[in-house]
Amino acid sequence: MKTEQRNWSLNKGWEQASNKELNGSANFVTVFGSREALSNPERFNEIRAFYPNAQIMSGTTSGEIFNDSVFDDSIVVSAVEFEKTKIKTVKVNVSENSDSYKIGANLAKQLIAPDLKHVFILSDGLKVNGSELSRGLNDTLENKVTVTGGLAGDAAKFEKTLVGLNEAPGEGNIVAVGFYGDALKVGFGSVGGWDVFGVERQVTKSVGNVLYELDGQPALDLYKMYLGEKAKDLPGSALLFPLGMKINEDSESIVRTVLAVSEENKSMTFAGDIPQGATVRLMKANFDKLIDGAGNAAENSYQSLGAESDFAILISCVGRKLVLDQRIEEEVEAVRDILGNNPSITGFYSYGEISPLFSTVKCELHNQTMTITTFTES
Amino acid sequence: MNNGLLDRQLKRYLRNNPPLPPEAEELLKAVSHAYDHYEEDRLMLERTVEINSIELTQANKKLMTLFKDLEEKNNDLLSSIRYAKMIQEAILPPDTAFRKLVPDHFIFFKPRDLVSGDFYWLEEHDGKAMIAAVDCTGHGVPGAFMSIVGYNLLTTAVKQNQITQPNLVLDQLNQGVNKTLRQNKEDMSIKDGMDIAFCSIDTKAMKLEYSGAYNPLYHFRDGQLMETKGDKFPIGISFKDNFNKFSNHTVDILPGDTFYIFTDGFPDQFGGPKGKKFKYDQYKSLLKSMSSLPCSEQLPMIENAFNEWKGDLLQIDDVLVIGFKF
Repeated sequence: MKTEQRNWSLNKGWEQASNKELNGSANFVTVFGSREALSNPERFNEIRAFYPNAQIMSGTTSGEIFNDSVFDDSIVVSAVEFEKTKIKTVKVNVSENSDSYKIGANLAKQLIAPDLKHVFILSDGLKVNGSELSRGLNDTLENKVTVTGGLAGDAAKFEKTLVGLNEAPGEGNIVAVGFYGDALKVGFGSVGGWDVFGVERQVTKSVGNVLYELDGQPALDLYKMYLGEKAKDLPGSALLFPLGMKINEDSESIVRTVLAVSEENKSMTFAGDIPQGATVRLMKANFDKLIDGAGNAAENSYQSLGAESDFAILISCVGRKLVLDQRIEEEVEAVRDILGNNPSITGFYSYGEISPLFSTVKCELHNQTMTITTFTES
Repeated sequence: MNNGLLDRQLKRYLRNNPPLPPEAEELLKAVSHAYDHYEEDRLMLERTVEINSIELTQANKKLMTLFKDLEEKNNDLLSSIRYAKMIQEAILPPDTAFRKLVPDHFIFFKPRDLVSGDFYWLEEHDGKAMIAAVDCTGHGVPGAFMSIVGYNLLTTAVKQNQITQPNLVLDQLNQGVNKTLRQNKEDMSIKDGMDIAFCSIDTKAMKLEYSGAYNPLYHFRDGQLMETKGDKFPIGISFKDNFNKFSNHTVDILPGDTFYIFTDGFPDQFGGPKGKKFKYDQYKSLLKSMSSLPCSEQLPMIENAFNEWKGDLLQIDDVLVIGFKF
């Protein structure tokens, strides 16, 4: 397995970050960039010219991760030459089917094969219910197939996200990549590091991923009360107070963040389901725990891989970026410390992360986590 | 524009406002942004703490109100149950009645809760003493309700309907429970009933008749146990036109004989060094060890044995043991 990386910025254009020359031998390429940068179709044409034979998966971000650095308004490209692993890519658009569960099931059906090992998902960040998408994948794929991925971002604007497969990225796309063969090893880890605080509240009115009321009061009013002046920056500012949610007393806590708000009906749309009857608590950031969380996610991915990795995709929540601000690179450095110098690291800041928890193989939508997928071939 | 604190620091430490290289301007911009960010974070945190304190105080007040309501409701319930206990105690036969009919006797009665699903019953008819140890389904309030049903039906069978043969009393009790609780094949919602050991003692003829639903009669003579088992079906929980018939047993009484009727509360009690059930083998040994003693001496022995076995564990069911000696 070989990798090479390059990045683009408005000031400097394309820069090669490694000396390897994969070019025609690269069979898989990840492209993560800002909406402005990726909206120009010239960029895709240039990338296609670099890697004429590769499956090219691209998505917009709320920040780009490139080895130990975090950029804004750039494009980061990682080309991989899998030597023993087969790859199949599929894409659907929400205009064909708006049911996120069915989209997940449909993508999975197209990828199923006896030697399917892993599925990586890159989805539109605003038009898809990530919980339902994950459920559709889970219900269709065999348990032995692991699934990781994330929802594309759009800085902290929440206006439009773009995802593409072998063409310039567009709105409403969901791309799935199937990895086949026993030679491939995949590790994963997903950890948050946020603290819950305050009283426990019950979800008294919700439909799917749209939350209306907590304890009989409009949820939007609660957020506005806590945000004060920052309420004018909704929905982005709601990232400061994610929800820690428990479906029932014994279930594990899942984190949910806001994607959109509606003043009209005082509702809040989250990246995943907020079931009626669930209990939630507001969460707040703790700098050290966020950085430790990133390190723990790396530790989990390292252990589940059982070997040193060659390539790592980091998907971290935009909420972490807003909070950590100029310290954001500390979480990427924490990951590098654990994974070592060998793997090429790429990734992006997202509107949602998809990964199994360490203890189970079923994937789930997460928010506010650092989610890592590591690859190597034996 | 720089952050206010940064401007103040620049003024203090770079008094002459010297020209700075472009990199330093960029650095100052980043430092200014960081100051702004931390100030915003601090304000947000202060706001969060304030709102959260208000919310927690409100939640605390709400909890206090709920707690007070619950406390009041609990007190109301407790006083109701205490009154029910008085009513239940009133239907239990007084010790004087027992002393008159079976002078050497003891009753070890230890309800699990304030009111009990176990009860004992005594009547005299035609010179015979009729004694029953009854275990109604459940314990506490539902058990107590069932005990009132059982008490009325037993009294009606013996006093009003003049039935004295134990198996016939149980047959009538069986039908009575079925009718009272409307138990039928169509509606299985009430599956309550009772286990019972019922004796009719004729001290003149020195005969004891016994009939039982599950619960046996233990008869000790010269330290030897003779057990008469009850029928393997309960009172109640059967259907019209399909009533089981209880069997009747007659035992000769000799002076020195000791009899015990009881419910399953004692043998089923968890305790001892390993927290296990007392069980019937140990229970029989206990009764055997004290069967030759006067009943007045047996009561403290059985009471101690139970309390020692139970230790700090919870009592799991009502306990009733009746012993009588001739």
